[in-house]
Amino acid sequence: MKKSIDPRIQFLLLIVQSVLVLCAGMGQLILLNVFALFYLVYAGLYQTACKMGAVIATTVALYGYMLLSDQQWVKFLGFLCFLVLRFGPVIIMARVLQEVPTGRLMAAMQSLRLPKNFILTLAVTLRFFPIIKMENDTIQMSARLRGLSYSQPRNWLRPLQVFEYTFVPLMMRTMKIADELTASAMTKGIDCPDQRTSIYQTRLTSKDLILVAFFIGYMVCIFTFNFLEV
Amino acid sequence: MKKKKTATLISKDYLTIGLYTVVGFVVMMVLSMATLPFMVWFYPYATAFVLFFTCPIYLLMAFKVGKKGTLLLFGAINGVFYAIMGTIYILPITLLGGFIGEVILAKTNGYRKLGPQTIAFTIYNLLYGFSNYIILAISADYYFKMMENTGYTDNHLEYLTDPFWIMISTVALIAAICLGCLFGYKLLNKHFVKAGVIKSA
Repeated sequence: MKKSIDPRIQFLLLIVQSVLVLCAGMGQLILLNVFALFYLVYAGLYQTACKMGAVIATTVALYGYMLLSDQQWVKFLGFLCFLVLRFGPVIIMARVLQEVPTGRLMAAMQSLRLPKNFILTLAVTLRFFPIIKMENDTIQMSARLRGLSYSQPRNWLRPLQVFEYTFVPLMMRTMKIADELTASAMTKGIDCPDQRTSIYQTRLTSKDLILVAFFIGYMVCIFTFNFLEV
Repeated sequence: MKKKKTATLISKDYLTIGLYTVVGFVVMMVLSMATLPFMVWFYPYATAFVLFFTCPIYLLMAFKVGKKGTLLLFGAINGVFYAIMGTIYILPITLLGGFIGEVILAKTNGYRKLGPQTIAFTIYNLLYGFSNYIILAISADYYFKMMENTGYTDNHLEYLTDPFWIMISTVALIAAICLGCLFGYKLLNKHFVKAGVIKSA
């Protein structure tokens, strides 16, 4: 059973997390990742939690190995490790936000009195990331059949053409999706100037507040006592 | 029924801009990841290389919408993504770039013209592509601290501080954007205008 965390709380945590990631050292980054994993488990996304847990554990192990050795190319791996650890917490948090139904997200954002068009754009764009991957896979499948895919090495000598063969279908699909979404939003009365009503109730529950309190406590702990001196 | 054409953005335009911005962002991220292994030698040209491929996307979006505020919204959404990804300082830079671009477009009324769009997008990208340098200029200590963490300072620093390399990357960036816009314009005429999805430019 998936527990639903209020979208406003999710946004708050996401933004605070991303600011903290910016000013965290390596040890704190690892702890932030650990928190993000627990957050995934709390939100009920066990499969994703397992996958991301494996990725982060591997990265930390690699980083540990890098600290021990002193070759130049290993140092370069350190940069990759840093990137993974740095974007890990944020991507995980955004992943949880993607699970929220669009109606619920919009209802919650509306209670923050943000402009309606901005809410619409944001809600749609968050959804669109996985769709691009899906569309691209389909396009590449048919491109491969015709020998035009960028995954085939013989095409690497003419990058512009390969880009064109991917770009044009992708743009066409995007255009179509935008049209369909507009039609769907119009029939649901997105242009109506009145306050939008929603079946989802937006009320902060005690669970959400406990989560925030726990988050703040954890962050204060991380940044005052530097647990992992890496 | 109201008349169909308005000068302000409507819901459809917001959706179009949102979706194309996401596509552009994803293309940018994927290409940045692809250039990452070559960064040590490739650094001054990497930004130019990546931004070259976002030009056709932007041009298509701008010609499709063809109204005031497209570039600003494009910049704002890009900035919000960066803010969520943890580099919040890029948001004001993209907003500023988008705003300057909008002023140019409004002055020339060139929402569906190649020249003004190229100039506006070049200025936007100059600000945005050099956000690293801007941060470096504003607060060098902070930037170096951030880079220290990564163990990636050897050649990188030389590229960031040497005026010769800064010149090179500026020229490369401007050339890339102009070529990219030309390439995008050709693609537009070759495919999209012919298919009738956007009005002829």
